[in-house]
Amino acid sequence: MAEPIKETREKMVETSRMPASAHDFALRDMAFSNGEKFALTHTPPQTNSCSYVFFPGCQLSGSAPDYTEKAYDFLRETFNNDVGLMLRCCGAPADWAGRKDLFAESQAEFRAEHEKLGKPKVILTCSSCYQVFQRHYPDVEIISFWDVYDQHGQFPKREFAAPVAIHDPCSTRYESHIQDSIRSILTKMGGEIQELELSREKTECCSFGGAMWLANKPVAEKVVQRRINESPLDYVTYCAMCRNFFARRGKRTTHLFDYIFGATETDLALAPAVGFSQNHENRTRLKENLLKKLWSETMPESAAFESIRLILPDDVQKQVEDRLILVEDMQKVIEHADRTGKRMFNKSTQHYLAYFKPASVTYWVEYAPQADGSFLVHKAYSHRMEIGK
Amino acid sequence: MTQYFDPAKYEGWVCADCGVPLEMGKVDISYLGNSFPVNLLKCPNCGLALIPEELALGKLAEVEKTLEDK
Ligand SMILES: [Zn+2]
Repeated sequence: MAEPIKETREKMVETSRMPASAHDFALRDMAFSNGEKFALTHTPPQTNSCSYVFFPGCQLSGSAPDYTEKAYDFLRETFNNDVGLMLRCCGAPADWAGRKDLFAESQAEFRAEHEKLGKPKVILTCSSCYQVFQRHYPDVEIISFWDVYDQHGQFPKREFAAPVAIHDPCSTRYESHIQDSIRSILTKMGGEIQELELSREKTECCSFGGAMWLANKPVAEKVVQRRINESPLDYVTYCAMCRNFFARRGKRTTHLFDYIFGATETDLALAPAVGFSQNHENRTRLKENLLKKLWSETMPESAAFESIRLILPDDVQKQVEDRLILVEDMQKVIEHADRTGKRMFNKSTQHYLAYFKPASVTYWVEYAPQADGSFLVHKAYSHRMEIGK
Repeated sequence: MTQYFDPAKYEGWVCADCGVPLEMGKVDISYLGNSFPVNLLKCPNCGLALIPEELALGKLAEVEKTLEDK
């Protein structure tokens, strides 16, 4: 689905006809991942070189930081600690948005870091990353995590109440070796697989690919619903975004990692999808934990806005998630308002209202400071139009 | 210019910095090189303007989309 559209998109971007807003959220997510809150390159603990580097990608790290850590432990055990770590975004959002400039920037950064490690083989879990590496880094040797696990992993028997259906992420459509490994791992763990009519090279998109969910919401919604309706069975997938897209719509879906590293006593198909703010928070925590645990290092200094503590009631939580407003966006608004005094006040409700424009979007937050120094958020919204005098 | 929100709903808001009530006034807003005047509540002293939620999610979102598709 994404392919024929991409060329048109690149042309549109080159002639500045592509709306800035469509891919903006994904591009900012990429900037976050390649910034100091997540980006990290390290040789394995206690050594200065490595033949392999684990590249878990931003979506797995944000959705399942605990599995990411365990996957890295498994790889170090399997390859005698000869595996470094690289946390960052592969550049897919820029590629999908047709932003050659941003992609080139991300590519240059990756190449510099990869060279520092001595050009190790790159082990990938995410199928979008895999696709990007295959197309844009023909000289870099890549290995699928799933192929490694199928060969060297352990396969404790898990409880399967019924057969499961595998959803192949569309970005691994033509990677039959990965599709085989997934089926092999699942079978070894006791799973009975019922193939979806549209699987492997015929698989359907979950709407994340090409950022369709941002560029064309109504079509994306139809695409994901159609996929969900293909089978009443639980889905098993191996892409964190596919899992989130199905789970957000109530479809019972597990990530293959749930069987490998997940808790046995919980019904993981019911685990809620990870929200966008939580996804960022998880990535940062992952970096912080690994730095401390494996290398006894600490995170770089945090920015002033990060100390702003927010309280989000459930309805507001849902509102900001739907509106693609992140906790960090709201923290910046309040920090800016507090520092500059530029805000409005309502005597009858005792609420403050303030706005801030960190990049291209202006965010508004209505809030009330609490006695303990935190801020209760009543609502948040945004617009792109710029306010003059 | 047409009103896209009910100013009565926003009675009671003051500019916290200047300590004066907001008043209706003309504010220019712009996007992708196009500029429009709108009537908004703003501080008569420093010009701080209030964009209500219904305006941001309604008319502004509509205009943004039109200009992007142009
Ligand atoms: Zn003022």
